[in-house]
Order: sequence, then structure tokens, then C-alpha cells
Amino acid sequence: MADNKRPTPIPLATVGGFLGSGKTTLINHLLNQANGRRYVVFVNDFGAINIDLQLVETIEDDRISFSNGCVCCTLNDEFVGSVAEMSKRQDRPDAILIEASGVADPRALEASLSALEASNHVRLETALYIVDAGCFGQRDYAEVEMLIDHAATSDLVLLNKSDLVSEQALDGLLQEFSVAAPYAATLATVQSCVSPALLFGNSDRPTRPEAKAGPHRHPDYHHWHYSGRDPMTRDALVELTKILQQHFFRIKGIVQSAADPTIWLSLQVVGTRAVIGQLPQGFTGKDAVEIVGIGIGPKMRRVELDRSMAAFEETLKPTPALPAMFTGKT
Amino acid sequence: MSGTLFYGGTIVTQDPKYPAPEAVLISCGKIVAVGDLADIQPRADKATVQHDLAGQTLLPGFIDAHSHPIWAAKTRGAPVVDVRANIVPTYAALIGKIKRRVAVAAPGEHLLFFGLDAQLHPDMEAPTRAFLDELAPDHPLGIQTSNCHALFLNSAGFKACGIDETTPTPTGSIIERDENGVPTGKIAEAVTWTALESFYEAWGARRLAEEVEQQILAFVANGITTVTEHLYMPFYKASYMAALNQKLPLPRVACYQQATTPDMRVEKLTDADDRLWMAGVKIHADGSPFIGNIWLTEPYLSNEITLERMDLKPGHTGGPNYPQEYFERMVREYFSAGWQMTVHTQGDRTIDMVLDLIETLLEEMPRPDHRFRLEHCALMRRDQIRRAHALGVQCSFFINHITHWGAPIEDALFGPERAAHYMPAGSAVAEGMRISLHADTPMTDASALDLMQAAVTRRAADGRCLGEGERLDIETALKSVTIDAAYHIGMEDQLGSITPGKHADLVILGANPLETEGDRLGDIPISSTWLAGERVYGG
Repeated sequence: MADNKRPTPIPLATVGGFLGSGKTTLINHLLNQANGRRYVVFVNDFGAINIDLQLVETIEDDRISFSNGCVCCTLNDEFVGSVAEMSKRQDRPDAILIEASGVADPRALEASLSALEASNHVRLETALYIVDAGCFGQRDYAEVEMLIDHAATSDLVLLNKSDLVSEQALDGLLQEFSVAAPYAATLATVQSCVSPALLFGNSDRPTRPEAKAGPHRHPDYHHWHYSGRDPMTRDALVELTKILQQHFFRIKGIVQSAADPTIWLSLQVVGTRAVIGQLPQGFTGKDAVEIVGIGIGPKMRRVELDRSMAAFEETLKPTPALPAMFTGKT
Repeated sequence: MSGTLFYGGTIVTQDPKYPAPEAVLISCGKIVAVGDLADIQPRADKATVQHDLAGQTLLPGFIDAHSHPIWAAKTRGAPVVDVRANIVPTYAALIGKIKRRVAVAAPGEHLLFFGLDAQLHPDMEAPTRAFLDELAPDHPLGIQTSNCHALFLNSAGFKACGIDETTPTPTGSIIERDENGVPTGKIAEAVTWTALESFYEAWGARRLAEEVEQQILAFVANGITTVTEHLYMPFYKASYMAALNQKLPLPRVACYQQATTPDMRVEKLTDADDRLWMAGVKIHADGSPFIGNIWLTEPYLSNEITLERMDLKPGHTGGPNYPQEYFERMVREYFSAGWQMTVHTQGDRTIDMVLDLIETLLEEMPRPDHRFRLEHCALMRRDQIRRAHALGVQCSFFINHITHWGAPIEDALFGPERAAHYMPAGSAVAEGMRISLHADTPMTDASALDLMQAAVTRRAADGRCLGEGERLDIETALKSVTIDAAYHIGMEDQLGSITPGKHADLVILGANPLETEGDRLGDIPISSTWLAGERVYGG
């Protein structure tokens, strides 16, 4: 029977959390200190992955392979297919981690994951959620409630950056999360330091009796995605960021520089704080502009946003865009 | 001829005259032709949009036979705080959520929490007025149960709703009181829904309009093109007309006006033609199995959940909402006026009472095609199904009870024998009934595919199957959210199948449900939804 030959499913964990909570730190730990284990990490974009060029073997559009056997992939439509394919390979990964906090449709991802689990390709080990303990106290009501709702439907909650709060405050937080997320294990961490064994261990997942009752709701998120073909100057990106900050709490983006098409800018926004950085040399994105926004609150003011975007695109027009042939990969 | 021509995929018409056509042509909001591509292609012209299904599956748009869109809009979305157990897992966590919300409340702000659940919040205690006053001394505060039937209020909440010791308890409702008649916190049934209006009104019309839009989008995003407004109240009309005037993709709405007295004027809704109409009159014969106010021949089980969290007495068999004579006067009034009746019935003793009444009414005033509907039908017995079928009575099942509350239904409320036939959709079909399924939104989220999966698997959240013998095959489940649901609302000649002449209400799915495993039906992606010939969702 075919079932007898079927390999054991690959352990899979998801990691969620606000931007800046420490998800990328966790992923970088995992990739850089794999100790012979082959991890595959799916992320929304490579923007924040701290790529050690010494380790990189190949870089493709949607995949970076490392010499230690780890792979970092973008989370896209081919996700289910790629995981199914990986699980059949001789050099199948030891574990898969998904950074899912920016996905446009969390329910679709849930469906994909349960399909992969049903077909025995993966075993959902841990839903991990990271909270920035250091700035929890500064969060407003809506942010706190969203954090808590997400934590409550997770298996493992990290109160990260716990070194930035007093012991007393940390005790208070641990107490608060033990009440608000009674079915999750809560851990105080520094630098997202958590053993991979805790994420992918072979023990059964903690049971959450009612957590599956009805579809999970992701109520107060709204997502927005923008892609463009024309590179942008840093100044234009700053202007665009100002517009987007009126609509979104978190923004991530990759933008090809109009001044030098070999340079790719990264955009990271949390609330009012925006950071524009530069991606490692050699990086190339699919489109010249890829931006994802995540807003908090009951709904997106779509009409207003579309109007602002249209006005913004008008301001770009006088700048002659580089012909596509000069933006090719090098 | 402009319109759209669909081809290149599987077409499931739900009309036996068109078993497996290659193509469907729609124009001016109607289905024009169904059949072989070679026959239909010549009827298209340059203006016709060619829509290649690319292997996907075209079906008639889904029909949710029992829903509450306006109420869902009022119940969902800020400032209502969602505390359902799948988000807020315990009563302790729920109280924490209330405290945090109260701490940031604006002066005088009305605070409402939706989703307290005696079955799913394992540490639940019924909150008293005094306890809620401690939590929120200054703000009107209410906690609504997830089954929608009950509300717990603090003193400011009672004041805001105008309920005190001098307020008479309306017939059919419950206001729990102390020995002096002072309300002690819990109210239930119709008075709950009027009390909640003072919260909704406080939040203003703009908030309501925004939430109505969100609900409309949620329905069409799930491929639902016809809903029912199963507790229509006259002031709902403004919201619906506003949505239509704004050209929002409002699914067609069959309205059933709520009656709580025998002298109500049933509104004639004629302004919006085939988008909004009065289909009949809705009456609650009993309440919710989850708060104990349904009428049973055999009592509830006695355990911690029923005795402590639900606060029932041992041997509790509940009762009907209205005194029997009063209930009969209401039904007689609206039935004799020619309306289709839909009556909320959960307990088997309630169903006995209603079937007795229907039998009497039909003897007094025979009516061949009355389609008298029983709603939810949790504990309907096999003999009652036979009797109902013989009387021409229709049954619509709230099948999501199984998925959302299956374990407590069996373990805590009714025991394995009754659980095995809880929401007996399979028995009803076996007796020859055409049934419909519903999500009763806002009680559970609207998704016809989830309903199908629930009816086909009868699998509870903890994985157990409640009554293998009551499971439906996928084909029947699909009928119950399309053509048979159309029959239940009296629109089978215009909706529910892909038939020439019917409204072009369609859904395109990423996979053919008839070839999908039963436990994966809910995962089928909705590619696009078409309402009156227009694409209103998807690409």
C-alpha cells in the first residue's frame, strides 16, 4: 500500500506578531544556526531577512538557498505545491516555518495549511505568536486587543524583549496573558531566543478544545497590496509612505530605486515610525514596487486611499521612468 | 445581445433538464441559454463577454434560507466587542476584555459584548446586575449570548433601555427579577432585541450603514446571492433601500416580518421588486437550546453546565415562548391573511404544538401550497417529520449547531440518543422532504459551503460525528442551499438553478463540490459571485 511508503509529515510552525516584535530575529536565528538541520522558511518578502552572503548559494525571484541546506521562500500562490513537492524529495526539509503575519487572506492560508495537513504532507506543530513586551505598555486599546486575540488562538506566546521591562512589569504581563490566552504557553524571551525543539518538537500539539469552533476571525485587520512597474526615487517613497501611514499601522515594501536600478530600497513602518533601508546588493524583486499595508481598525477607507494613490501616481508622471530593459537582473 | 458567455469548465445547473451543459449565456440580468457551446456561441455577439471558466465550476448562486443581515450588521464590528469562545476562550478572559474596554470608554458610551456562551466558556458564571455594576458603574453595558437570545445588563444598561421594576414583561419575553420586581440582570427573547436597539441607536446611523456594507460584502464573498431577513422590522427598510440606492451588491432579500402580537400590520415591500420583498411572517414558538427556553418531552441532562452555568432546575423541560392561546391567535391571524409562516421551533414538544395547530388551521382553511416553515428543528422526532411532510410543512435546519456546539449538545444538554438525531436533516430527506440549511447569521458566519460540509460530515469541533445516519450526500446538501432553499422562500421559478429565464445569480467555485471530499467542502475557494448578471465579487 502506498500509505506504508508515505514519509512522516514535515513539522510545521507558524510565527505571527506585530512588525518589530522579533519574528525576523527568530527566522534569522533559525537560518544562521541550523546546526545541520534543513529549515525552510516562508516569508512574505525577503526585505528584512538578514542574509549572510557567505551562506548564500543561489538567489532566485522567490527563493534563496543557503549553503547549510536551508531555504527561504516567498509565501505565494505556489505555496501548497512547493511544500507538497518538497515533502517528496530525497533532501526533504527537517521543518518548515511560516511567517504569516502579512498575508492578505489569513483564511486562505489556514485552508492551505489544513489541506497540507490532511494530505499528510505536514504536521502543524506550533502556532507561535511574538509580543514585544518592551512596548506593550504604549499600545493603544485596539492594538492590545488584537495582540491578545491573536495570542489567545496561538499555542506558544513569546513575551519578547523582556529585558526591556522591569521584573514586576513582566510578572504583570505574564499574569495578564495567562488569563487572556489560557490555552497558550507564555514565555518571556530576549532576542526571540527559543529552542527550535520547542517549535518543532515531536510532542503532540497542545489541545485547545474550542479553538476550532467556527472559522477563525481576523476582524480588525485590513490588508492592502500594491505593485508597480516603475522604479521610484527615495523622495517619492517618502511621500508615498506619508500617505500610507494615514491608512495602515504596518507597511512593508521593496522598491527599486529610480536613481540606480541596481539598488533596492526596503520600507518598514510601524505606526508613526518609518524606516527606509537598502537591500543587499544583488537582490532583485519581481516588480519594481511591491508594498503591503496592514491597517488596524474596523475597516479600510478604500475610496480615500484610492484617491490619494491616484493623486500620488499623477505626481510620478513627469519623472521619466527608465525603460524596462535597463531594469533587468544583473 | 451583449451579456456574458460562460464555458470551459464544469457547469452544475441543479436543473435535471440541463444535466451537464457546456455553456451558459446570460444577458440583462437573466439566464438566456444553457446547452452545447456550438449551439449557444452563435447567439453571442461582439459585445458579449466570453468568460472562460478555465476548468472551474459554475453553479447557481447560493441561497441562505434563514439569516438576519441587518441584525448581523448591528451585532458585528466595532464598537461591539466580539467575545465568542473561538476568540476569547474563557469567561475569565472575557471579563478581562470587558475591564480593558471599560477603561477606555468615552463618558456615557454604550458598551456591548457579543458571544457569552454557557456551553463553550468553561468557567462561565451568569453575570449579575450587581457584578456588572462593579465592572462598569457609569456606562450602559450589555453582554449578549452567542445564541443571540439573551442579554445581561448593568444598571446603566437597564436605564438606557428603559427597563425597571415598573416595566411589564412583554408576552413571550423573559425579564429576570428579584422579589421586588427589580430586574436582576438577565433578559431573554424579543425584549432582548428591542433593548439592544437603544445600543445600536446610540452608535448612530453611519456606523450601521458601514456595517451593513460589510455584511453585504461578506455574503457575496461567500457566493450567497439570496438571503432572508428573518426578523424583519419596519425600520429595517431604510437600511436596505439605502444599500440598493448606493448600488451595493445587496443579495436578494426575502423578508419575514417578526410578529410578537396578533395585530401587527405586515408591511408590503414593493419598492425594490425582485431585490427585496415581503415573503411572510416569522414567530418564535420557543427559544434557544443553549439557554434552556425550548419545550421538550424529555428533560435536559443534569450536570454542571445545565444546572450551574445555564441555571436550570433538574428535570427541566422548558416551555413555549408565548401562552399557547396567544401564540395560536397570532399564527391564525397571519396564516388566514395568506402569508407564508415561518415558526422558530427547537424542542419536540413545541413542534407537537405547532403541528397540531397547523392541522387545525388547514382543516378550517385548506390551502394547497402553504409551505408553512419550521425553523431550526433541533429536536424534531422522526414521527413529527412524517407528520409535517404529510401536512406540507417545510423544515429548515440550523446545521451549524453540530459544528459549533456538537460536543456540549451530546455531553451536556441532551445525551447521545437525542444528539444522534439533533437537526435531523437526513431523516427529513429520507422521508421525502425538500429541506434547506442555514447559518442563522449572526449566530454563525454565513457560508453555504460550510453548511454543506456540516450536513455531510456532522462533525463537531472536537472531531466526533453526531449521528452518522443523519448525514446528507453532497448532492442533497447542494440542493438545500440552492434550488430547495429557493423552494422554501417560494422563488423556485426564478432562483436556485441555472435555467433559462431565471435570474442570472451565479457563483464560480475553484472546485466542483460534487467531486470534493465532504470534509473539504468549506475550503473550496469562491472565485466570483454574480448577482443579476453582474460580477459583484472576485475576478
